[in-house]
Amino acid sequence: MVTATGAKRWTGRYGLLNTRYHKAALMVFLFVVVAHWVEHITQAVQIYALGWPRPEAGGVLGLYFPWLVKSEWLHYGFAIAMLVGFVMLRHGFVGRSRTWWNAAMWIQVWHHFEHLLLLLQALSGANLLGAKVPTSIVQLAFPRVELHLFYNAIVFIPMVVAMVHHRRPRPAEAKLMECSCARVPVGAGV
Amino acid sequence: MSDVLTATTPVVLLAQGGGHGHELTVGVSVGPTFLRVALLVAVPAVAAFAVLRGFLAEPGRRSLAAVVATAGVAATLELLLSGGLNLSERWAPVLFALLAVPLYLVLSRDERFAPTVDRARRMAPWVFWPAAALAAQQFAQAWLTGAGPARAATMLHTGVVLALVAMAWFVVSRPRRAATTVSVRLGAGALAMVLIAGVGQAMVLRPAAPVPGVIVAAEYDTDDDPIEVLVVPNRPGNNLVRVSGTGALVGTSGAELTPAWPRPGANGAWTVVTLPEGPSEVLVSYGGRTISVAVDTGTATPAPTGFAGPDGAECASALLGRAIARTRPAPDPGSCPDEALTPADADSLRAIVATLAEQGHRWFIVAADASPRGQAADAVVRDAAARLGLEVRLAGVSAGTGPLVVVSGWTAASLTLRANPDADVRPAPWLATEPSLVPGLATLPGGASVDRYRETLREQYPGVSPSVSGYQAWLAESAAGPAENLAGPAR
Repeated sequence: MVTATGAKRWTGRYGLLNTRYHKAALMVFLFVVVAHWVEHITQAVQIYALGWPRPEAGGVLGLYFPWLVKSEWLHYGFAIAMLVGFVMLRHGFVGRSRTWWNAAMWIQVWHHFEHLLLLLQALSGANLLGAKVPTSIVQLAFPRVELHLFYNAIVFIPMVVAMVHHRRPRPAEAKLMECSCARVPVGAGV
Repeated sequence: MSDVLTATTPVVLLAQGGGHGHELTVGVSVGPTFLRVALLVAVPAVAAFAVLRGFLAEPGRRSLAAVVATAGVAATLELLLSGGLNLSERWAPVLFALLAVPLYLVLSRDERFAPTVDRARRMAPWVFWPAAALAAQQFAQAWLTGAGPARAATMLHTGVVLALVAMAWFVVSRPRRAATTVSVRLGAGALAMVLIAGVGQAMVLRPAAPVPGVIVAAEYDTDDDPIEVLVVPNRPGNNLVRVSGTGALVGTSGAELTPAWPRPGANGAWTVVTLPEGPSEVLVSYGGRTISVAVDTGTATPAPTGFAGPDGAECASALLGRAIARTRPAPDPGSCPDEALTPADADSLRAIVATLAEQGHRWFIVAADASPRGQAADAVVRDAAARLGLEVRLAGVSAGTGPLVVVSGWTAASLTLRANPDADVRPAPWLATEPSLVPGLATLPGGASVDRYRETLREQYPGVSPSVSGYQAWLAESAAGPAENLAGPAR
């Protein structure tokens, strides 16, 4: 493991978040993403397994803070937090894990744009193509609950793949890593 | 907690100085205004680049990216403000993709894709020209085909979005041949001029936002004739929708459209819809199109129940009479005419009975309905008959050619009159309508006051027929001088 030389800053390729604290940062990021993911899965269970009406299916948070779940700020907050996490932590990934992380990141860019569009509509009152409620681009074709369940899935899956590859890098990849995330390089022979 | 900053946020302006302030409260819809301002900044920026491109050296990567991004932002704002395009919704993702690709072409630094990027930029005119042509077609349709304001606005918005797509591809275009470069630049310059005009007019042509409690009246273009739609009283609860054409289906959701039918005493076709509090929409399917009429019932006084009854059209006529007389935009829906008998109408009924007595009649039939007005009128007529020694025979028996005093509402009166075609009909004053309830029945009397009412109604709600109930409501609201004699001749 090679730490960043004299790195005092937090971001960037040799920043602390991508070197010494990359693992911790990824754990925090993973916790946030999983918590968000659980909320969406809970919402899906409430609708499909428990048969709740959609307006009442607000996940776990929605049971205690229904106003919170209806807030586009909350949804946008998650989207921007995830996007910031993807962007800031990407430098620590190399090789295959970088490719998968970038794929997740670019999907999240689009997911974030959809939430930005929803937030803008909620704030301005001007809805997309005159829709009755704030509506995102792909939501013109698919219902919101299922769509964002899908978005979170297609972001989560490559993100997890990236993390797995990052924890089990090939020797060539391990040489390029600046952090201590790798459990053991694959094929290291140690 | 609401995320919406719009919906008549009051803006308080304070005058300066003198140790005291004068407050002026102006209702401003903040959210869409911000978006319009942003759009009217972004579009000229993109258009200016297109016009000046021929005079500029090759712009840097950042400049190109900024212009393309601005076009994308402007197109997004258009989609938020337009209220709908003259395209299927399925094209929205395609339009976004067509706006995203130029951004990638400008920003891409990956050497692996450099040949593809280069080829795409050389082929960009092949996207520019079709998009520009489609945009020009929309603008031409809006300006040259005589489309109504609503339809023209939709076409203009569509043209603006397509023009912005064309502009985005123009920015990244890098054709090899000089002739192609010149033609594309000339085309983009011309499109830029049209784009500026189009977006300016589109912003102005937007339909007025519905105001809670204010009667909604609008005209829409369809594949057949234009259609007028009226939503009365635009309050929470049961509302009447009047459509000028026949064969329209009306409702609040696509799955629950019901036919609008003609009603006695009023022109057009009518149906009842139940509207929730606040903003919603009324759907009208007519002439091959489904029109969405934006309404906002607010949260105040609910609609009187009379609007859903058989004489809802008379109720609507009275409310329209109050509306055209008032300076305030939202008349209190008040009560419907069939909820009470006015003293003037009671006097008219007594005069009718007195006339029957003078003409030597010994009996007559009175046809009333169950409304409070009908019951009160029945009592007035019977009392007057008793005083004058006239017999009141059972209602429901055919009057033959005998006298028939009709004091019910429009719908019941129409049925009664059709069932007694030969009767000597003496209708209550409120039964004077245009069109008349049955052929030959009296319509509105003449006179300067009635003419003023007719004219004002025609100006503000063209196509809506006048009635005595509407005239009386207009008189009461406007204090427009003495009423005309409404006890006109019978059939």
